[in-house]
Amino acid sequence: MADFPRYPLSYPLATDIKETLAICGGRPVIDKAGRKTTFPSITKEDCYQILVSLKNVNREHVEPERFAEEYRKYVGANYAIPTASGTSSLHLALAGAGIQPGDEVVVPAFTFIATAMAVLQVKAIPRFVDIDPRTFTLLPADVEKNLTSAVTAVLPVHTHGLPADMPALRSICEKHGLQLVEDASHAHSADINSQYCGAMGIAAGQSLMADKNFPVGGEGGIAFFKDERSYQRAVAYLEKNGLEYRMSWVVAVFGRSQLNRLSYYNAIRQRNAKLLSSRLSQIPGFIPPYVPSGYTHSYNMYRITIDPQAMGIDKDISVGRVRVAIQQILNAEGIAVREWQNCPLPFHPPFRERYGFGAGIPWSLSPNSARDYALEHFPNTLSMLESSLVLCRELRSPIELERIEHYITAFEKVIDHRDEVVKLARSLDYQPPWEQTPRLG
Amino acid sequence: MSIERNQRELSSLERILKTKLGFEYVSLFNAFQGSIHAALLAQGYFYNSPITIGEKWKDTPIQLFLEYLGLKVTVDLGVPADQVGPYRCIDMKSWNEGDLPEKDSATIVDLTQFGYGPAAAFLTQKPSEWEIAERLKIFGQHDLKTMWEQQEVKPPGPASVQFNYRLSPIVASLIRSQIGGLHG
Repeated sequence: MADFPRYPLSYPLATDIKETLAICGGRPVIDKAGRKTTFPSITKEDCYQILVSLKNVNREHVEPERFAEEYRKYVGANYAIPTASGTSSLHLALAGAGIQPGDEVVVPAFTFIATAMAVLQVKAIPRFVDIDPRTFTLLPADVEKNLTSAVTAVLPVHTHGLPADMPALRSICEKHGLQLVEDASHAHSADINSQYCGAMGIAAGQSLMADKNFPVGGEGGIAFFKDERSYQRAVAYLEKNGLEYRMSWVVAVFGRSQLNRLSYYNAIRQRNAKLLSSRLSQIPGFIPPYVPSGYTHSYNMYRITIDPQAMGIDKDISVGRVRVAIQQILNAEGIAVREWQNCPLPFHPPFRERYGFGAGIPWSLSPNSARDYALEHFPNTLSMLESSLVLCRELRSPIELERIEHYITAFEKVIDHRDEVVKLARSLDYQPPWEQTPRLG
Repeated sequence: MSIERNQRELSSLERILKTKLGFEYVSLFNAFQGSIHAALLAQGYFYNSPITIGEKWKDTPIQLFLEYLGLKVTVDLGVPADQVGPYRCIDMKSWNEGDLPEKDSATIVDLTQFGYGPAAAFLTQKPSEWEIAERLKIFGQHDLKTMWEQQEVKPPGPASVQFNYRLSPIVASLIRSQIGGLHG
């Protein structure tokens, strides 16, 4: 089945926003046949690289190493281990940082489950804290408030591709003698003042799976290390525990080939995000992602915050209802906005039930670290879940400019049909997202 | 190659394994140890459980991995050399048609020797065991269903630590092409 779109989109017309909403039977902004987005860009060079590699009898070992070396240099990390997945890369990053069974590791309550699973995998205990309401990354003030004597590391996530507040977190870690480990799985080519994510902490894990801005065409990951000590510690940990985390040579070869295209992919995403942000800023009620000065957001996901009052919608309708209504309307128009996660991580079954490896491991190693969380501990996470939607793959290369224009038209159309938004919002059988079954993505 | 299309690529390998080996259910893994982990979890092996392994695994990464999981490992020279707990382990590349495992058991199959990277499968006749195996994987079948359909999926066992044991679809596809040629 081909990934390629059937036809190029034309530019939208100014009158498109006045048309009947698709959810009400009108013509969608992007019709079904035009909704495919092509990513990654797979060319004959990728196929050729794989064919050439077949001649190398040592390919199973050589190709992943070659890939790791080339990508390590790109990121500016000193050492790297290619892995079978992002989760395993995080596991190794924590092991390399010297995290021990029974330790606590501070993680954000809003992230993909793998971040906290990796903490369990080193038999440490995640200590969940809230996020910053503007950046959606780990909130330094909440980190400091939640430190205990068992905490040995802080594991910020560069959520959606925006680097976490690393200067503030580094300061906290230095003050308290903690390791700073990155989850850079969303942050390929994201940077703070030209230092790439993955090269900022003592170690980092990064997913390279098919759904990421830098994909290896399947499952893959890479662990980065700042110094030889942490790298050797991770290597020794792998051997001591018999962990089979090798990256397949096939995906490594694909990754090397794609690395040549990464700068282009980055430029396309920045172009698309800049245009979308600039135009959304002019549409009342849609707030594009905030990017602090000196930071580069790599837009693995693009989160749009909704402000119903700015849209002229009455306060008596909750923002959650308005969000769901807008999502349904935009989806019908052919714009794939959605929730990503619906529930803070501590309320997912593995962290609520605390079964672990069995016998309550790792929590039973440090009984004082087993904390019963309440929703009130994560007000910023809840507010974000209730009031925002994300675009996921839709900004990636090679997304045509016409497509971004269509997205903007769809948002403008929503505002132009404010009354229908209100009507739909009022009619919904609404349940806050965190009261539904926890979902992973 | 987005995650939705993963299932289509993997199911082809699943089908041929089920057909060749005569099992109803199969779960694919990106490491032999992953399939062992799933198989043991399906039989209720958890931290502190005693387990016997055959001589083939003595002082190997497999023994170390079982100890990492917290199992109390004993090497037994009296059991088949490739045994891990209740399971025989098959190397699919060197497997012969006549070596069919018992139909009422489950089995672990190593696919790594095909040379596309670490890969393996757990095969069983019991849906409950398959569900547990899939649940071990982040974005296994249960998680995918919850992610896309948001239905309550009650796990058959406790919510244990998950690992990303997902096999790359391109690796699955390449292995499948080899298996098809190997055994007709």
